[in-house]
Amino acid sequence: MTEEDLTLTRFTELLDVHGADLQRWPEPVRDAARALAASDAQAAELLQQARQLDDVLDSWESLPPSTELQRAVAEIPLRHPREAGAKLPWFLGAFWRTALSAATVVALGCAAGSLGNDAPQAPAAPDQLAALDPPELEATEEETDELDELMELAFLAEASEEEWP
Amino acid sequence: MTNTLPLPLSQVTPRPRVGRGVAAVLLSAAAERGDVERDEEIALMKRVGAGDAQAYRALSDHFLRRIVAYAQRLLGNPAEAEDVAQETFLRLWKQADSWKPQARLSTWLYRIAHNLCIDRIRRRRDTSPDHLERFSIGDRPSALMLRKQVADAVELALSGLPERQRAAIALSHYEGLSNPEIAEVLEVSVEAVESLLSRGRRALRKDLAALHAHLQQPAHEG
Repeated sequence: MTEEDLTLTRFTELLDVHGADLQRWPEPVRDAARALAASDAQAAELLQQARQLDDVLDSWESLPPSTELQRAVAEIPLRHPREAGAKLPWFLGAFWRTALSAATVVALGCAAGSLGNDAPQAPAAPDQLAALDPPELEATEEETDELDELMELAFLAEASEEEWP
Repeated sequence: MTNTLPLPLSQVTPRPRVGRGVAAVLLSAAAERGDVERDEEIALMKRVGAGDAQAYRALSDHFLRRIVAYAQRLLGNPAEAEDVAQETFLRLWKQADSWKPQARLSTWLYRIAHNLCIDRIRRRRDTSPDHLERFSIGDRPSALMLRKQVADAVELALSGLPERQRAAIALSHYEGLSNPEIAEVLEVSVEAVESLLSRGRRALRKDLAALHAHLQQPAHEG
């Protein structure tokens, strides 16, 4: 942007937005602004007024943090301890919780389905009952144990879930 | 016309920087000069998220003064500003996980402090009437008195601005943030920041016009 492109109106707007420090102005207009302030008395006056405002604002100095605040801020980790690595990332925690719950439901479903399939679908004839194989009955007991284990696992999962944040 | 490239804070902040280098083991030489750069920020915040108190200490040492100063500009009350700063760093410690590296850590902290300040200003407004008094300067004050009176007048003039204009002026003039960074803190567009700054400066110029003559007098020098 050249000095001709930068009107006094635009120069005033930019002064209001960016203040008197031309280094903080957008790079493309800096040179044009310097040139305008050097060649135009009104622009120079506006820049001077903006500098005065900046100077006045600078007269309000903030207070440094007190010793008490510095101590209190430094002690935050002591007052609010967190164990490094104790917390699972949220997505990992949620993922494993969901995965474990889903696995438990599927396993229970499979076990229940397996037990259900062993039940007779229709009244059996006496000879058919006689032909039932004892080992098959033993297998059903094993599956019952398996179901108990799965139930236990489900309760454990529920208990450990409470420990997660 | 605005600078759309967020510059490193070290380049946009011409004012004295904070960096007492307490955790020298953690910070590089650049950090001790006050230039906690982006990679360092991310690395330190990861460690804070994992509960590393030393990393927290390095960051709090680096940013404490700036957060306190900003809160003072908004609240005009050093004690309240210290409360806000303490709460801001408590959140840094507890909520480091929620920081997204896309944002500069400084703007994230300023935003936390800003929201805490606004909460306080609004609570204040609910409980007490606005009792701003016009400032006045004595006829022939000493240089020290004049300096104090000018500072009080500036504080009063700033406190008379609407919240967002005050925040924009504080972040731009005192904290040296670029307009895109201010937009991030205030959660508004860059154009809105420009408008806030422009209206804020015009109002301040009008309010503080009476001071210009006094500042020209030699009595205030030294």
